[in-house]
Parts: sequence; C-alpha cells; structure tokens
Amino acid sequence: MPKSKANDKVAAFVGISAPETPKYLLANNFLLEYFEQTGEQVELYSYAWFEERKSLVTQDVENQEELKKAFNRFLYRYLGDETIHQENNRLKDERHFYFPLTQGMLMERSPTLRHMLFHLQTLDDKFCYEEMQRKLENYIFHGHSGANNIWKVLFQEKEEIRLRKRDVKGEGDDFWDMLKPVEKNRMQALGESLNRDLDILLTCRFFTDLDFYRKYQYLSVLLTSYVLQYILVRKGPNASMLCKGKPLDDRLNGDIHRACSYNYARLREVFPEMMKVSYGEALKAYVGKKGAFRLSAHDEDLWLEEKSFEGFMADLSGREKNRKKMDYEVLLKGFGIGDGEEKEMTMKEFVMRYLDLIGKKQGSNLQKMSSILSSSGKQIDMVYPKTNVNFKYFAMAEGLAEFYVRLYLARKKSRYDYLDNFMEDLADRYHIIISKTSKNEKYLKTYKPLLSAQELWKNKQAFLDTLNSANCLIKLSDSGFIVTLPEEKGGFKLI
Amino acid sequence: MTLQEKVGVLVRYCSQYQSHGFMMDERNTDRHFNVQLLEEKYIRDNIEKLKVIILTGEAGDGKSRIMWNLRSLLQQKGFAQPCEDFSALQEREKEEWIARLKGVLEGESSEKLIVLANVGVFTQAILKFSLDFMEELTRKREDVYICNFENRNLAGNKELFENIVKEFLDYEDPCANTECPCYGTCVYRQNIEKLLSASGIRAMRILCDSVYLTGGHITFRELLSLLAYTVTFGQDCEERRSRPDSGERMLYYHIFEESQDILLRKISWMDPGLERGGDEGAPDREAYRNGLRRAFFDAEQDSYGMLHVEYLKEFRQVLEHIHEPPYNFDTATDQNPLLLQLKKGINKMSSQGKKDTGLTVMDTPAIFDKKIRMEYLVTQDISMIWHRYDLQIGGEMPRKDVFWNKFYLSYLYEEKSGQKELISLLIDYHQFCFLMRCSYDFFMNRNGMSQEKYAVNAYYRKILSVKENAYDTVKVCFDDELGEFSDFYLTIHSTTDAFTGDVTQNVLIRKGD
Repeated sequence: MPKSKANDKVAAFVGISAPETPKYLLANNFLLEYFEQTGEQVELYSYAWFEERKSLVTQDVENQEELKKAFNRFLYRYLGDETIHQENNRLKDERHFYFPLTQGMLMERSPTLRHMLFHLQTLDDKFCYEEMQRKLENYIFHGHSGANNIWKVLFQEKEEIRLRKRDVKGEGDDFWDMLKPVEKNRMQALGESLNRDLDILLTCRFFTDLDFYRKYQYLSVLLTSYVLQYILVRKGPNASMLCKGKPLDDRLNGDIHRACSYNYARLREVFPEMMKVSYGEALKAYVGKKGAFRLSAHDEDLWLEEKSFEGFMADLSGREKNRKKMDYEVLLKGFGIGDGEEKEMTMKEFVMRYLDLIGKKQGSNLQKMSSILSSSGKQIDMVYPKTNVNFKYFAMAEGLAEFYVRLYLARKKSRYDYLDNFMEDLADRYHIIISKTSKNEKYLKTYKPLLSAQELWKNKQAFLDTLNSANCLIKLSDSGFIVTLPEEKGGFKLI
Repeated sequence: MTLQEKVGVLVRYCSQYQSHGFMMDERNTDRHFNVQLLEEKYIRDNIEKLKVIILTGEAGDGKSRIMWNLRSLLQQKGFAQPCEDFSALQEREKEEWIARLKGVLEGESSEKLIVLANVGVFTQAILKFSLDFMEELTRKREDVYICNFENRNLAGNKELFENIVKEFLDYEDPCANTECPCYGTCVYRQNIEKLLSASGIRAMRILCDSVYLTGGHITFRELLSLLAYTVTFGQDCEERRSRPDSGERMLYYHIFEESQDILLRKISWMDPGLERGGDEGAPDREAYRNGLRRAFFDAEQDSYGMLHVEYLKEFRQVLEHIHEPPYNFDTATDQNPLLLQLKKGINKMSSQGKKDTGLTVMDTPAIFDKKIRMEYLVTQDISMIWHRYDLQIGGEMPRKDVFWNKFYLSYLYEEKSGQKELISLLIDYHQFCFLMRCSYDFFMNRNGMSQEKYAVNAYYRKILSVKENAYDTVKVCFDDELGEFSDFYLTIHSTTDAFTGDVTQNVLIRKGD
C-alpha cells in the first residue's frame, strides 16, 4: 500500500478511498491477500506462447496464420484482458490483467478499497486464514468442469500454488480503531456475514460444480456486493436499499421511483457525513481548540489561529506539503472572508464550507469516495441508470437476482424454497427491500414518499418478472411462488 | 324461477355488479345449485382407503363446497375435525397440523385427516417445517389424496363442463312481464339460449380450456362469474330497461371487449375479432370484428384456431399426440409433423440458426457477450424423448382422464450405478411458442437471454455435464460482421509414451468448417 494512501486520514476513517473496478479486479486483489503473484506484470499470452510450450499444436499448416490471428483474438477476450480494460479505461495499456485461470495470471495492483474486505474478514473471531486460503485455492485454481477442461491442458499447470504467509491477528481491529463500539459491533457482524457467505460460495456444489468463469463471476459479485453492504453499515443500523424489482418497468414510474431515488441519495450522503466527522476531528487536533476559532486571511493564505490552511490540508492528506494549493480567491469566497480580514468561525461552519469547496473540485476525495456506491453498484447490475445522471436508484437485474437466489438456497442447503422466505432473507441479511415482508416495517417507514401497499405490490410483481426471466421461479398459484435454481427447475414437483 | 328472477340471481355473480360480495355468501347459502365435481366423486369412491385428504387452491376453487358436501361422510368414516382454512392458522398451529400429517404418513398415527389450504401458504409451511416431507407428499400413495385445484381444468371434462353450464343457467319459466320494453327482444334470453346450445357450450369450454392451455387458471367461482357476465354484462333488468338502445352491445360475443376486470382480461386477449379471415364485405371494422366473434360461437367443431392465440391449435394437437399411449416418443423416429417442427426450432436455437441437424450446445460463460461463442457438439445419436408431464421412470402409468398443459423433452441416460435418470426440459405453452418461432425463422434477439432460451441452454448444459468427454472439443465462433476472424476448433489430444506409459496432453487447433 503506498504510504501517502496509508496516511490519508480521511480515507482511513471512511475505510475506502476510491472504487475498485471492474469487479474482476477487485476479486484479483482479494485473491492476492491469499496467494503470491507468480506471473510477470507484462505477460502477454499468445498463440506463440502456447506453441512454445508445446501445449498448442496444429496440423493445419496452410491456415496457420489465420488460426494465429483468430486464436489471439479469442485469448484477448477469454483471458479477461479485454473485458477488464474495457470496464476500466484508466488502466494503462501496457499492464495486463486477467481472469486468474492460473496463479500466474494474478496481477498486483494498488487496492483502492484499502484491503477493506480482507480486514472485514479478520474481524470475525472464527476466521481462519489458512482454511480460507485452502477453500479459495480449490474454488479458483482447481476443477475441470466446462471450459476449464481445455484451459487446464493449454496452461499445463504443474507447479504448486504459492500461498501468502500472513499474520492476521488484530488486522481489522487496527484498521477500524476510530469507530465507536456500536459501529464496530455492526462491522464485526458484517465480517462474519461475509465469511459465512464466502464459505458457502466456496464449498456448496451450487457454485463449485460450475465452470471457472461462472465461479469467478459469482465470487466477484459477492465481493462487490459486500462493498455496498459496507457502505450500508456505515450509514447506520436502519439503512437499507430500496430496490426496484426490475431495472426498467413502466409499472414502477410512480411513487416507487421517487422513493428509490430518495433512498439512494440518502445512502450516498454517508460519505459527506463521514468526512464531516473526520474533518471535524482533524480540525480540533490541528487548531487545538473546541467550538470556535479565529480565522484570518493574509499573505495569500488563510490562517486558522496561527496555523496555515495549507498546513491543515497537508495534514489531512498525510503529506508534508499539499500537492495542489487551492486558489486564494476561491478560498476567500468559499469561507466568506476578505483579504486582510479576520473573524470568529465555528468548527462546524468551517467544516461545512470546506466540504462545499472540495465537493465541487474534480477528482476530490469526496467525489472519488462517493463514486464507490455507483461504480460498485453498476458492476453488479444493482444501480441504475447506468449513465452519468444525478438521480440513481437500486434495482434487481436478472443476473443479480439469480445470484442471490443461488446463495440463499446454498445457505439453506435446499434446491428450492418459498419466495416470501427468500425475500425476507434479502431484507434481514442484506437490508434489500423489494416488497413488504413481516419484518421490514422499520425500513419502509424511512422512505419518502411513504409507499402504499399497491406500490409495493407492483414492485413485487416486477421482481417476479425478473426472477422468471432468470428462470428461477416456479408458480404455485397466483399468490404463491417457489424460488429455485435454473438447472434444478425441472426437478421440482408441485403438490 | 322465471327468466327475470334468473337474471336477478346471475347478475350478482358478476364482479362488475355492485354486490359482488354476494358470491362469497352464495357459496355458503345457495345450496340449490350444486354440481358434483370429479374431485368429490373420487373421494366418495375411494373413501375406504384414504387416510389423508389435502385440497389446495385459490379462493373460489370449490374446496369449501366439496367439504360441505362430504362433511357427514367424513364424520361417518372417522375423519378428525377438518382443518377448513389452513391459511388462517397461527404458525404454531400450522406446525402442529403438519406434524399430524407427517405422523399419519409415517404410520405413527392412525388419525384420518382432511386439510383445506391455499397452495402457496401450505407449501410455505411445509418447506419451513420439513423438506423431506414435501418429497413424501408428492410421492403417489394410495392412502393420500392431494388435489391441487390450481392444476385443475374445469373445461377438461366435456360432460362436467356441460353439466355446470346447464345447471347454472337453466331456468324454468319464460319472462311473463309483457310490459317490459324488451319483451320479445330480450338479450338475456338470447344469451342464455346461445350459451345453452351445443355450439355455445363448446365455445365457452374452448375459451376456458385455452386459458388453461396457455398457463392460466379459472376457478370455479370465476367460471360462474364469466357465464353470468356473458348473459347479463353486469346489468339487471331494471338497469337494462333504462338503456334500451344498448341491446346489441350486450350480446354474448361482446365478451371479448377490452376490460380492466382481471377475469375478463383472461378472455379478452384471445379475441377472435383480431384474427384474419372475416367477411371482407363488412361495412366497417366493428362489423368485421363482430362477425369473427360470432363465428367463433357458431363454429361446428373445435375452434381453437379461431382464437387470437399464437400456436394454440398446434400446441393442443401436440398435447393430444403425447397424451396417447405409449406416452413417450423417440425424437429420432417420431414423425408427428409438429414435433418435427419443434425439433427444428430447438436445433436452430441451439446452433444459432446455422444448421438444421445435430445438436450443438452453446456454453458461452455469462461473463461474455456472444460475439465470440464457445460451442460444444452433442452427437446426433443422442437418445431423447418427448413424453407426458406425469410419466416417470418406473412410475405407474399416467391417468387417462388428466390432460396436462405441458410436456417434457427428456434425455435418458444411465448413471454409473446402472440407474436410469432423466434430464428434462419442460415445454409449456410459452416455451412451445418460442421454439416454434425459432423454427420458422422469426427474428430472435440472440444476445438477450430470454427465460425460454435460458431453459433450453440449462437443459443442454446438464446433458453435456453427464456426457463423458463432451468438453474435450470446442468450436470457437466469431460473430464479426467483417469476417475478420475464422472459426476454429480446439480439441484435447492425449498421447501415451510407448515405453514409459506416461500420458501427455495437448490441444490441437484446426480451422472451422
């Protein structure tokens, strides 16, 4: 982890500093918590690479050039390089990132999520690093089902998997030492939940019997979904995600749309809220006072009592000197003070004005952090619209709904269950609200406008369509439904 | 009962009428109208051997009526106090009932039980309590009778349906109100006469049957409501007299008019007036449409093809074929033209429309779009069968009187233990339409994964997973418009060293066809 990032107090308090996308890169970084990087940073797999290792042979010599071209195109796509670059255009072209079909394909990259998922795991008292390592190894690097079959022969992997050695005692504790005890308890519960879900994903045949790509997809979705869960937990005990049953549906354009947008916006506010707390604490420490202090403007800088504003900014970012000095005129305007003037300012007002200032700044901490919610949400098809508009909302896409059904049934060790039980579990465990259930009243009360039974019913109908499209639903009657896995659907016998 | 009195009774069955709630009371108080349903007859005929009776369905399916009719018989045969509304029980009581049922099924209790329940609530309770019990319940047993009215098709039995219509609509005396301005031209009389005629009953039966075939359900109460509406259009004599000009609009065939009513919408989307083949000389569109609607009610024979429902006639014909012995048909040898067409649809879907023979399974991981596909070949001699929904390996022969609205395409294979297993694709009306459209080269968005396509893919992937070496050869196909890249095959090749016996594997690459 680069030092500057490590010392960034705000990011340390929030726990995350910028989105880690695409989700495959997040999974790549997560796996690197457990496995050594054994490959080259600029490894480029190609027809020649495999030919050299004699794992790829052709007798079709006259078409060899054509085959090379087509095979290389196929590799670029199927090894993940193209997908990962397409979904994150900030990645440099000379670096290659792959789906880790082999350990050699795991590639180090600075984790912008600050190892948050791993720290979450370590908060769980029952967490065993070696056991998790073993399960991840089996899940990712072993198995011959489906498309894996041919890759295994092509790569001819014979080397032992090189594991990382790590002393994980107290990692998470240090990471979140600034949290209040109540919040820390919630964080611990989240860590336990993540470990439980991971354990299910890595061991249940509903996942392990699938081919590499599907397994990797589900792992990436699970990890990314916990980034959203983390934000939810930081927001507070009653925070929830009001989710449209279907991303786009004419039935859901009324109150439910407004309530969903409101819910999303409220959740997004967690970032400025956290920053406010963090800046407030930093300010107190910097000025060495509580309540109010003297603010003055002279010598092309602002002065907090006797200390410079620039020093405060450098202190916040953990660097000796702030890289980009803010324009003096902008500062004067932002803090409502003229050159050569001085005034009394409360800590609260100062932080508010400061947040306003940096919030407008392109590429600011606040903007980067706030974008984690939308970027991560889009990665798992949970945040819409996918365009760059202000008013976003949560919604359940087919693939995501299928993932949650699969995970739920795996946890239940059952091939099917009643829909209402599944929806209750979504609300209880992940605070995902789609319709009214017997226990989610406390969340429903927080939405604006308050949703009528009719609106929630429409949302449920849309969700039924989504589940149906994902082939996860069996209709018992007009009001009774069963959720199941697409591949198990034929085996269910109705009463 | 006179015609006028009859209309007064009928109109109260219509959901459009102000006192719709009457129907609930009617169920319990009007004991004059009673038709013995097949389910009731079955229970009476088998009461000696039955220990558990479970009747599930939506409100209005007729569970309570059956219970009311059988009450004294059940008491006489030693049945415990019935559970008349499982949905209304507290959680603890539900658990107690399930425990009692389980006790009887496992032979630990000698009780005889009858339960009336909403199928959803009942299934939820069982799944919560015990998953194994669900398997036990669905296993056919002589001493257990489970009737899920959701699967019942009231139009399935011609005799019963006719009986219901006649019992419900028949009246004794014509209208004696000669003062009525409608006297002699009464639409109610015309409507009842039509619905009691052979063609009228047939048309109503086909309508209800079509709802069932396309995956819907009409409860007993809804059937009565539909009949009542077709006669009265929700108006009683008094209201009718206040609007003397609306007579033509109240004739039976206007049942297809668009409506917001949930029940009527189950019918109106099938409007024969939207089909082609009407009177070209009709003065206007409405007359043309009404002509087609009337023709549906006047048809001399089964008129499924006249309804505005895609492939309905064909679907029914296939079901009729499959419901005849031997109930299962080899896909390679069966010559039913519609099944051949369906097979063509499956082949076209699975091989992206490029081939008509052989089965190629696309197993491109969901991570990717379909611009570069991975296809695996399932050999052509694969043994697959079309078969009835209720046909099971080693199970008893299906009941002749049950006509399912779905069937299976199954792959039969033998496990290592020698046990035969089926991998099945359920083909209901929607799946059927999807595959038929594929077979006729309709435009299909192949990038999106529809539920139907998903089902077919899942089915073939399951077959691939049980076939040895199925994933040893893959065809990589490019969907690029410019034809920049050639398709190619990758095949795993094994070589054994003649001296050491070591096996090495590599991948052979060759250009695609």
